[in-house]
Amino acid sequence: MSSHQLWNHSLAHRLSLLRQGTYRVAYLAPKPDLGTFRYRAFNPTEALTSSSTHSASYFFYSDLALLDDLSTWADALVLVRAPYDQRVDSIYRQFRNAGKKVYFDIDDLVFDSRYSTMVASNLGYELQEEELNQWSAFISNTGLALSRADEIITTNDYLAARIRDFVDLPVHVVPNTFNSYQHARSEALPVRTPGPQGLSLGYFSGSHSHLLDFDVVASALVAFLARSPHSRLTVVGHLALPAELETFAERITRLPFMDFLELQEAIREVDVNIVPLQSSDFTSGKSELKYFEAGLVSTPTLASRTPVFEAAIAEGKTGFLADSGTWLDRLREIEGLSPELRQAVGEAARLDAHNRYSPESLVEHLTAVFGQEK
Amino acid sequence: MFAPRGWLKGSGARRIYRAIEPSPLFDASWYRARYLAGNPFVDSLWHFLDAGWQKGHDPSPYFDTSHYLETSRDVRQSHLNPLFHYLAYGREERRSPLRSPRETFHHYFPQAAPLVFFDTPSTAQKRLTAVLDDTTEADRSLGLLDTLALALHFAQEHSRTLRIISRRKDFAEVCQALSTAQEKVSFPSIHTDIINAIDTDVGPTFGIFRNEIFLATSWTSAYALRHAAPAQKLFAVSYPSSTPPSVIPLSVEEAAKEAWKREKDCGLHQEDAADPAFDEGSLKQGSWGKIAILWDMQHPLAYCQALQVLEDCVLRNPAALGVLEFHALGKGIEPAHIAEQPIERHPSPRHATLFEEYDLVLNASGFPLEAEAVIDCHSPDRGRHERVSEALASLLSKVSVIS
Repeated sequence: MSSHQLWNHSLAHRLSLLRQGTYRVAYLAPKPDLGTFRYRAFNPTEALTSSSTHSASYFFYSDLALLDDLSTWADALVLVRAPYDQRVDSIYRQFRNAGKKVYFDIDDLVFDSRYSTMVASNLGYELQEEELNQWSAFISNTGLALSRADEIITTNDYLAARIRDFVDLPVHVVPNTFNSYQHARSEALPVRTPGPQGLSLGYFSGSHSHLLDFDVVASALVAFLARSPHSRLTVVGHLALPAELETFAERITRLPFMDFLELQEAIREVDVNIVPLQSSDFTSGKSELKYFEAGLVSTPTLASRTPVFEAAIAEGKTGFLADSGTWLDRLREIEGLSPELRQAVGEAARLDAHNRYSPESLVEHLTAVFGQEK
Repeated sequence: MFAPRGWLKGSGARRIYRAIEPSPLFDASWYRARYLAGNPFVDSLWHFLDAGWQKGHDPSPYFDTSHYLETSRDVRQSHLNPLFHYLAYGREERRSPLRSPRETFHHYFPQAAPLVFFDTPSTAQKRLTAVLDDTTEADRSLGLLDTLALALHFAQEHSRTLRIISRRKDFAEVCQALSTAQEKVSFPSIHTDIINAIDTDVGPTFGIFRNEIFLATSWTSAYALRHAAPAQKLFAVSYPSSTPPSVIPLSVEEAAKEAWKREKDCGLHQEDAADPAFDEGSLKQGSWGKIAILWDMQHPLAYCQALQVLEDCVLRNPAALGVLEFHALGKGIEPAHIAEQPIERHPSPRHATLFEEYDLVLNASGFPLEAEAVIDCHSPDRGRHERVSEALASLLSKVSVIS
């Protein structure tokens, strides 16, 4: 699923978002999707509608068949996570010929071919021979598109450091954020009263790419559910549950992959949002988006202690962190907390999300990136 | 003959049938009238699924089978029914079922379509790329040989190697002319590469160096090169009638002057002139928000210009979408859209009752029309943009008052 009513607008409408008199930023993505495109192109576009100095809009490769020269409509281009090909070459050239700057936005460690086999194994891809060639070519070409831009935008300091290892270009950190639709949907949800006993845990899988991440917590969940007979687990999205968890099938709720707005409701229904991640350079660069999206509905997060989550979560105050091998202990500790204390942590996460991951904070980050161009 | 029994036995065929049968993009009666007029017993849908799409038949006025296959290499290679692909995948991927004005221009003038370039690192090599195509001599008094000699001189003058990209149908002719030109020039020979750019299925790509300069030798090659490099690196051959040819900075307007003149001079087609229903007095002055583009086959440049100007104005005034209707009147008009809104096509522009309905007419036909609501499209006039834009704004205000 990639189309969504929120971004299913005509080209004319999207061009109209680039307002005369402002610094106009054209985000270009290969095609719409619920992940990278939403966070890195749609959300910035939406956030900048409130700016008096900057405006933005999002475009897809399909629009290039209509527009003779996108650079006549915008002052800067942000190419969102795309491998180098003739379209990239052509659109870069259009902006350069017009004396306008080209940015490349990247939200994963998928640009440096030195990491290609590691990333593939992290994602559980069983790549051999030709498939490995294709995967490496994708990463290599993404790196080429990145290295030919003028400046780079990424989601966190960890990735920024990897980019600086890779290429000598200016790198800006613009964290992922929620959008106003997620905010409105979250605010409209009724206040939830936690159950008297046990913990309701939630695992919200974004895509198939998180299969191996769940293994990090699987054995701890088996042990926890065995010791805590009132605790439950909700799993949303694409995930094949390990066989050991079948013993607790009556306490496990499976929900299909859902729209990101509906997802807020599902997150609201659990006591703790768990975010297990493998330990690697790839997962170390993963965004903290699961933390602030749970925070929006006052649900505290227990996440693997990656550099990004460690920077995002104030341990015990706005959420919880687990090291490899400590998941069971952390789950039991959190179960031992009073519901009021857990709620307080969830409320602190909500305030933190509003402070640091809102559309307003995104405007500040973006104007810092583009502002000097004025 | 109806569809044969059992032709939907395969699950793949059933899936395709179930996707297309209820779709508004398949219009059985339109398809029948267009392709099956002599076969009243053949089922339209079966015909389209079985053989029609492979013959390039369109399932309705709103889906251009040939265009979809041309622009979707993966669909072409998969041999999948293009309409099914669009309904199942292409729509979500935002592929277009119809040509845009830009694609329509490239359809009528394929040699004006941009060449596909890739920036490549160079070891400080300095190069001039000259592009030749079949219009290279069309609007010139001098021939291919002189054009190539000029390119060699220009390369020598700038101490560059020369690469000739040929989009001409007769490649052997170019090779022969180059050989003769090299003999003709008096300075020591410069390194020259020559590439046949049209002899491939998927379209060739070309590496370009950071400091490369480009030379257009025709109006179509000027269009093809105009985004290849910054303006200061783009040049064109100029052939003033009274002085020797020279190299000037590239301007597509300047390069296309002769083509415009030639198209305009081709005048009015006899069929158009003879039609008595072309009544200027019957133009309706503003009411329903309908815009017509008049076309005839003698004036494709004007037609493409009309489409592009209209689309550009609509993109700058999105309120027009869904409010205004776009109609193209003429014989043999290819399906297209303006700002993603399909153009209604009418085969006969001479039908007075149709013609009376339009509030604004962009005249790209050879028939001279003088009326307030008519904008002539037979020159690359930048002022036309403002006229169309103002007319659209005026039209929209009238439509909103009425509604």
